Amino acid sequence: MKQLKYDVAIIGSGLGGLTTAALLSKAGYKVLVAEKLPFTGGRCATISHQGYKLPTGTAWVSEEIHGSVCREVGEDFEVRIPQVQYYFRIGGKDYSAPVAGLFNSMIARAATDDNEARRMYSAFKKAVTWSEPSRSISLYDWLKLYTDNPALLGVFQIFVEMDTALNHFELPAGEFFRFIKETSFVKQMGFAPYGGGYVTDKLVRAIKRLGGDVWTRCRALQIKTKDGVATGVVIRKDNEEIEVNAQAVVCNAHPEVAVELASKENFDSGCLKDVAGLKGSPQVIYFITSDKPLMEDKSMICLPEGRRIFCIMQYTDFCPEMSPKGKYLIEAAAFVGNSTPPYDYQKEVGLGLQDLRDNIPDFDRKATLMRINWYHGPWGLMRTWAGYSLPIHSPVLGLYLTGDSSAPSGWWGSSAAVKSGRLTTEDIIRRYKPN
Amino acid sequence: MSVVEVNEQKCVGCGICATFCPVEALGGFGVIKLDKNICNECLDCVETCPMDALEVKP
Repeated sequence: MKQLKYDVAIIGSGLGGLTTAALLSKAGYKVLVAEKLPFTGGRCATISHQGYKLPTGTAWVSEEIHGSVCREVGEDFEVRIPQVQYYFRIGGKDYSAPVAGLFNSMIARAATDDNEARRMYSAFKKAVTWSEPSRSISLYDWLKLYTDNPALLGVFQIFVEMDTALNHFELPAGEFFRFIKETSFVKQMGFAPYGGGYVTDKLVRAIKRLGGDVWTRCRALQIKTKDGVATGVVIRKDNEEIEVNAQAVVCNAHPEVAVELASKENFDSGCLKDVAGLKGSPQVIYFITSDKPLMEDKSMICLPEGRRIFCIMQYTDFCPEMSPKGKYLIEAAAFVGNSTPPYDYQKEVGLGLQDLRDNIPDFDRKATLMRINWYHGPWGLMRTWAGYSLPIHSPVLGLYLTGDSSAPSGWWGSSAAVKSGRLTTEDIIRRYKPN
Repeated sequence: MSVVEVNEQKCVGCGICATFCPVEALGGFGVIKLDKNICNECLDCVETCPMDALEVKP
């Protein structure tokens, strides 16, 4: 078998894998990223379809988390921040909410009176600045201690859905407040100019510029181990099997893939249980096109009282590169009534379509429903429910499980993927020297 | 009739195959449906499915 040598072999080109690869390349390590699909980015990619650019997952990024990695490896970065970031439709009326003081503003709008707003605000402040609520109760249980108001509960549901793809009754209350604290340094949040692929394309470019390799259509067949230590990866590229020897192996594919490739015997029963217990968080994304703007004066609207749809974004307003000239691309995101499968697809989509008809005037006449994409299971919008992450170290020495399911508490989604990549990079630099 | 089959146990309905399909043979939601009469067997869907849920069954 043909033999190749790299410092680090990385399986999968999701945001976590590419973050690791780019930062290691910058630090002088020779890396190979092996991606089985014909495109890079995983759930942080952008696919061209009928002249539109469709994100495979996230398009929501921040200067402080995604931008900082790109800049660190010599790429520029832009985040498109809508002028008014949030509009909330409550009781048929639309309210704008500023980013600074967002929660206070939302609470004030959704509360039935000043007393309820004050009660909620002070509970919220105490949870952030003094003691986090228990992780044994859900955020919904915690909210119910202070309010029964459906609009107020709906406002929190939106934020939980946006950031975790879970319902508020599924998220541990403590995890929510940990997230608020962990990511309080993020100030510039918005949209990547053409979806998540904008970030991962830049990282691929940086890796190649810094001397690393990113191979698509390149499937990992085996993670080689010797005496419980990872020694490399066997890949198939252009119908040829190649043994890639490396000091460390990073698996950015789902942890189940790492177990399969490195052989179950190398994993202890605790880790196998943790991996098997990973639950992808579901979300339904509706891609809608139109010849005319469907939302005349608002680019993004949140629906605390939606049956399923919690946010509608008219991408073309702030990312014109995502649709052909004269056309509009709209994405509507929906939660699933219960994140645990099995799902009633017909019911969920029926409720989602009702929301679209209620909130977009003349929906059936003006809009074309291009795709309804589901995320769940191993291809969940998030690989794990928030609060149930794995560590980056696998039981196999030198084998890292990197991605959004391996990040500290309070880190979710694409931010978790970047964080996981950063932690993996720091650990590799501490333990291994580049050849 | 197409040689491609959707493995319903593996399909998560992410729709990536449908965006790559040049003849719009793939559609639906939840679990992707393949119209075997339209499929031109280019196998782009097989290659682009992250779950390996599209299989060639000769």
